[in-house]
Amino acid sequence: MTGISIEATEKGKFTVLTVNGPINSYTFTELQEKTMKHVGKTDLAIDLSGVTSMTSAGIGVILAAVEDAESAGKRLLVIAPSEVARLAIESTGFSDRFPTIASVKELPA
Amino acid sequence: MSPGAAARRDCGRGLYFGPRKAAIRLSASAQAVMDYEDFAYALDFLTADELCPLIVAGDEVVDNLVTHGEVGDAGILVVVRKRAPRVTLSFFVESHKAFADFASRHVTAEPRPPRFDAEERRWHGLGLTMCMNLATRITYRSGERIDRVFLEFEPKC
Repeated sequence: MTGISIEATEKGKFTVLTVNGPINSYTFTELQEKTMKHVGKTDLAIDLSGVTSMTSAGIGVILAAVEDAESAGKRLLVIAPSEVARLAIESTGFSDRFPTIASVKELPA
Repeated sequence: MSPGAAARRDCGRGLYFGPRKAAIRLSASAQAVMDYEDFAYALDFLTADELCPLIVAGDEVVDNLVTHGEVGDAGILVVVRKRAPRVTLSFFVESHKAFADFASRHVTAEPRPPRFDAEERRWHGLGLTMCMNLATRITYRSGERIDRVFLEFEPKC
């Protein structure tokens, strides 16, 4: 079965989680664990350019992380969502809750 | 070989194609979502604009059927049919009460907006909202033997 892979790297003040593969009910716990580990402690960016599919399970994780980051006074950004990830986010009606940048080069200092 | 041609050759998974129609039978397992995506990406009679909503909404339905439903031994039969400008995505599963309850609620009531359960740290109703925003029309039919879900997609502009 094709699984999810998540790599964490440091880019300035941000921890960048680069996600590849599908985010669904069977894989979202890995995203949740990695997100919970960093959110609220550092500024966090989630690179979704390699996401092949995204169900509400994954979107729920990111939405919750956005709330947690805001509560802790930290930033959370989404980087370059793939076409299916972008459409999945749009279809929730909550696009404005996902601050998005086009590439890792646009991360604020 | 094009992805579509490769998929047409894959008869072992119960997959068949017509000029503008294709079907696959998915097993009730974690693999079902990935199999659905492989199937959808191989549909060469769909444009990219038609394919993306079909993948996002279809993933959601398959994910929910496998995770929350009681999919029987027959699995989930998925049929995609294109009659321009409309694309219809149909799901057929063995009947179960949970689905009948779900279907009856949505026939009679306005769907509730998604809500966040802070205790469980998860969203409820987000997937249904996504499907409703992506599809032009969603129909649920619970039957004595087979439950059915139909999603219709038409160009938004």
